[in-house]
Amino acid sequence: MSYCVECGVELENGAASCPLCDTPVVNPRSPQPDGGAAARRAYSGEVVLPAGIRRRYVAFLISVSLAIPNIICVIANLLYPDTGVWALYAVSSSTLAWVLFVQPFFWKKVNPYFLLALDTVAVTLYIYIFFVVKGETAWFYRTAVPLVAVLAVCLAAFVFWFRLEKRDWPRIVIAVLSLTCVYSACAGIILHTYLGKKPVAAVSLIVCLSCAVMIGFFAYVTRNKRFRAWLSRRFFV
Amino acid sequence: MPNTGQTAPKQRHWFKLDNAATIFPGQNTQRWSNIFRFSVVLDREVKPDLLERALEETLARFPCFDVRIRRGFFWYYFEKNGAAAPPVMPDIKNPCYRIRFNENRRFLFRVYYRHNRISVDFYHALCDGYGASRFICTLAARYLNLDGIHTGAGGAVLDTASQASEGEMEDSFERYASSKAKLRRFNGFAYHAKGTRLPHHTLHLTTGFMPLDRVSAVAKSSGVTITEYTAAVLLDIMLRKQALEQRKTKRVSIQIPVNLRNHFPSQTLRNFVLCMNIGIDPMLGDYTFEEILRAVKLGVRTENDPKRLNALMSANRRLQTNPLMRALPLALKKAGIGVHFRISGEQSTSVLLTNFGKVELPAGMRGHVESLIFASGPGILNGARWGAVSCGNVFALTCSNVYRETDIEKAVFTHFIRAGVPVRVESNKN
Repeated sequence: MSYCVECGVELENGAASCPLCDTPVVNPRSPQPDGGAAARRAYSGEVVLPAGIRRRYVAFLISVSLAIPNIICVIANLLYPDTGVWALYAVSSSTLAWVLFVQPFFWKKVNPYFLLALDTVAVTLYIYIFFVVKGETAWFYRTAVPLVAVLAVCLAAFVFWFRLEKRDWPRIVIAVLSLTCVYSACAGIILHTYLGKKPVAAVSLIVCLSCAVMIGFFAYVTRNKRFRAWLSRRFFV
Repeated sequence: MPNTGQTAPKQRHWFKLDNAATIFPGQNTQRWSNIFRFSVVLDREVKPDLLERALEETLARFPCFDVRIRRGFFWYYFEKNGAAAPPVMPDIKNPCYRIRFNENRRFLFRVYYRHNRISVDFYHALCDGYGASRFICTLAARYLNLDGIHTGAGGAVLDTASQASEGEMEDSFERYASSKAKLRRFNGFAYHAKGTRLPHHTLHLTTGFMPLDRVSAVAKSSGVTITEYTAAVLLDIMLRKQALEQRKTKRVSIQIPVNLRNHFPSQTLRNFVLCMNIGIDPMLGDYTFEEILRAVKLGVRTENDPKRLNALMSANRRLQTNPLMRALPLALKKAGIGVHFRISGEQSTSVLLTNFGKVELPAGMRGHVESLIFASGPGILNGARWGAVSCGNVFALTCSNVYRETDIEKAVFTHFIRAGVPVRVESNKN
């Protein structure tokens, strides 16, 4: 029988430390908790974690639900070929939605860069289908591909930064706003180049200025603890 | 033992959830369910094969536990399970983890054993502490019978040779809710102690065993009951903790469930419990422990009034019987309950204390039961929730804490030690 010198409570046999204050138990009559006493502890060390969500099952159900109307569309379109290739739009849209929102749930553990690459390819292919159907050439290679590529690079940069360590929410907002600035500037340059104009960042300047003001505000929130406490007090939900 | 004036039960293949139970499936998430634990500590090692047999025989006596929960179009309902009794498992370090309705042979309780302790984790939709105590005491008695001890029946032990009565399976809210009064239900946002969260599905479960006569003497010397005394200790600790933190000062309140059977005669083994909320507003000034005791004593005696309780249960019942509410599909009801629970469930209480009181056992069993343990499941906002039960001369006070820090438990148990009550502690920590 041991007592905690800090709390004064009687401890169970074999306890290495007090469960209330973590003070180590030093009992001269029983120098170390012996195996027998430890085995008599009130609770075992076995932790049972419940099975996770049946994500794959749900993802499978959603996939089937998406597939059925698409199959019907394709059959209908084949039966009436004079109506154009409208089923292509339905199938490609559904496929894009599936790749973006359903397919990640089939993986147990997946590399985010792999998912990002997959999403980028899917979006590019989706746009390519419209490009092929419309029969126009320049805009796809000169605007769509660079815009999607820059967005993918920005997102990859964000994922890389996010995975470095756990961030608090103001820093996350700052990072998102900064990437918005970068992306709007790149988009401005790409679109102006395509239209054959000088790459003046008129629209992106407005976006960047608005973002800069907000970045300043959130930077202040991050640094000033009192202001942050005041904000949470004032705006708690 | 013959059923005292109760009608024999009809063969029920399904029945509705009682009024209190309707909210629990709606509160269920992947991370949390409303589970509580009752344990009985015997004077001998528990043999799993005997326990399995005892469980089978006990379950036959408790048809309201031999159920699974099913999803209807408008409401959840219980259906006779019919499967073999749930498996008896060695105890684990993280009891009260969330329940899934398709696990454990679809039963809504889990049975564990370790050394000389039998524990059952109950899903709250199934029963309240009263029903749980009847179930586990009968299970322990049946176990002892199979081990060669004649315990007899009486007190919390039901006779397994008798049949369940209709009264044991009734929804007593339906019978008694008759008030037309309307009471305010939400008491404002309350303070919540914060800490470092343990991983999901794990908790610190710490039980302090104290001599009942000493605890009772301490409470009596202050002119209050054990529940009121313990509630005052908890409120005092919460007030002091809040004062140390530089956060917005909020009301500190404690939620205490009331066994409605004390006011409205009922034999039901299903839920028949309501919660009262006793609070102290630190904005009014600094409170000494004696002032807190007085406030809690007055609060409990005001709230624990049959008319007020009837008004509360009638309001809950009206909500359940409202034609619009009844017509809502289950998915919408469930979403509504989930949102309501997030907004107002634990928001108005800082801490929960369930004192089950003294459990009476038959004379033949008393010498073979060392103690009972009652643990409220962990909360979402209320990091530490407290449960207490007395058996013989042992008062067991258990804290279920989802935070790494154990300062609240330490403060509570050291308070009792300073008051002259020796405390023996058991925990799943380390």
